Amino acid sequence: MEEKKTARQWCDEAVSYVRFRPDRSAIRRELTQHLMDSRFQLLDQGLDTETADARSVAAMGDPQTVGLALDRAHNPFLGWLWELSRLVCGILVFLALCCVLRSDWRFTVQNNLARLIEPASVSQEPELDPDYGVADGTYRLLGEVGCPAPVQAGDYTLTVTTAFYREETENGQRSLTLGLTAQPQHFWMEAPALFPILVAVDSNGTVYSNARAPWISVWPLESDAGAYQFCVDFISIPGEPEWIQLQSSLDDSWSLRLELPEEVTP
Amino acid sequence: MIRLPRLSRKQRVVRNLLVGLAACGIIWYGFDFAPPTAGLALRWKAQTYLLEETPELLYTSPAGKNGSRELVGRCGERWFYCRDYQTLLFHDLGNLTFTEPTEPVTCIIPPFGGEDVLYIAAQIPGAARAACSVRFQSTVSVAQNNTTSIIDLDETYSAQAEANPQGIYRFPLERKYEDALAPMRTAEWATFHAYSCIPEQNAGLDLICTVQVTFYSEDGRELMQDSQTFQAGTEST
Repeated sequence: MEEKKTARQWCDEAVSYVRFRPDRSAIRRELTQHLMDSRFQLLDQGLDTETADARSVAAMGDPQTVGLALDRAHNPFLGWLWELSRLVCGILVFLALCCVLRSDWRFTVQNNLARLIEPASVSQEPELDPDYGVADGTYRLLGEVGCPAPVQAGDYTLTVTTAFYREETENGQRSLTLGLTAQPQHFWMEAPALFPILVAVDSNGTVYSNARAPWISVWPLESDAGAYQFCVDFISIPGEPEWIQLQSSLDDSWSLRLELPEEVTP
Repeated sequence: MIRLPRLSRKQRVVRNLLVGLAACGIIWYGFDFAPPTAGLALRWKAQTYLLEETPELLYTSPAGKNGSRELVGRCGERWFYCRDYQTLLFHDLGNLTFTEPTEPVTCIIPPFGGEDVLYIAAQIPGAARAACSVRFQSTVSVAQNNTTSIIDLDETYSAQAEANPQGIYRFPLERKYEDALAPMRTAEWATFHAYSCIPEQNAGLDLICTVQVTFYSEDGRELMQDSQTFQAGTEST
């Protein structure tokens, strides 16, 4: 004859079929609650304690059937996935909060939002003023320089947005100033490292570099959304070259040739 | 008070994944979209040099100054060197310094801010280790305690290195002068500074740096010797 199970034994057996152990205590609590509710109902109907206990346990059914059904509902794969997702999510949220609380967060937000939200554009020219020093006679503008077509340099599109050729009136030193825009293909790309790589050669074979005269100097201007802007200066241009070609010192995959005015405007 | 709907476990997993993804986005954003792997960081760095080739990382040093690592590899025909300042998962690379290959041995000198090391790239069949001596010859003017002394520094630093499978040898150069107040230490510091300026050819100090390297087989047999001389400002072999 089968021994009658107590409520505790019934619960133990039922939860033993649930493979996802972390849920067992909650399931046991719920089952015990059901058994207690049923037991109190039977006691209210006038049954004695022993009979009420036995009937409430019997009313719960076969612990194996119930346990297997509970195991299906509490899938261990999903359970562990949930636990893992809670842990990972907690760590990530903590790290994200640390990032937000960093002192330079506001700067990063402003910087990155501008790159993310505002449309990329090359229309805004760098603040390069060809008339600077012309009115007071410091410089003499030698002529207009046509902007060459944009070139693809690696993952950037390089565009010369403005170019002017001028002469210092005091010593006759000539310089060429370019506004150069580098448009990256992806929003996360940093500003191109133009300073260490830019070199130029002119029609007389003169090489311009950042290491020795004649100099080529590059400095960044305020970046437009989605595009980086630079001012490129060729200082102390010797002779009267017909053209100057800007290129990379690392490879010859791209170049920008600027035709200089043939006859200097007096 | 708004009562949120009770979610099933599956829905909670999805919710946590979405929250985790959003947090990842915030973290990435907070690190200024820094790349998560050294390889990707290198690729992106090479892009900023307007290069089309993908750099090939061949050597990563153990963590050194400020926990940063040194990366050495090839980008097309050239060798490159750069420092990797890693925070959490994100890599922040310093400037790339390129070195033109020379046969049979290429000396890769870290630029200013790097470690006191010399990298040598050489594919010597059967080489298991190499011994290197680096001789610095310079004249340094040291001003200390209202007196200026001219120091002719002529020091040789020796180091040994095991071969790495890609043929890259790392020789740490140990400085000799410890006393912070000694003029020799200042002269040595200036000389190492000039040494670190060789790659970018912007050293102001008159320095001749002679590198002599000998490669040995597993059983200690000498396989090859090579010597190269560098001068501050101009490089010569």
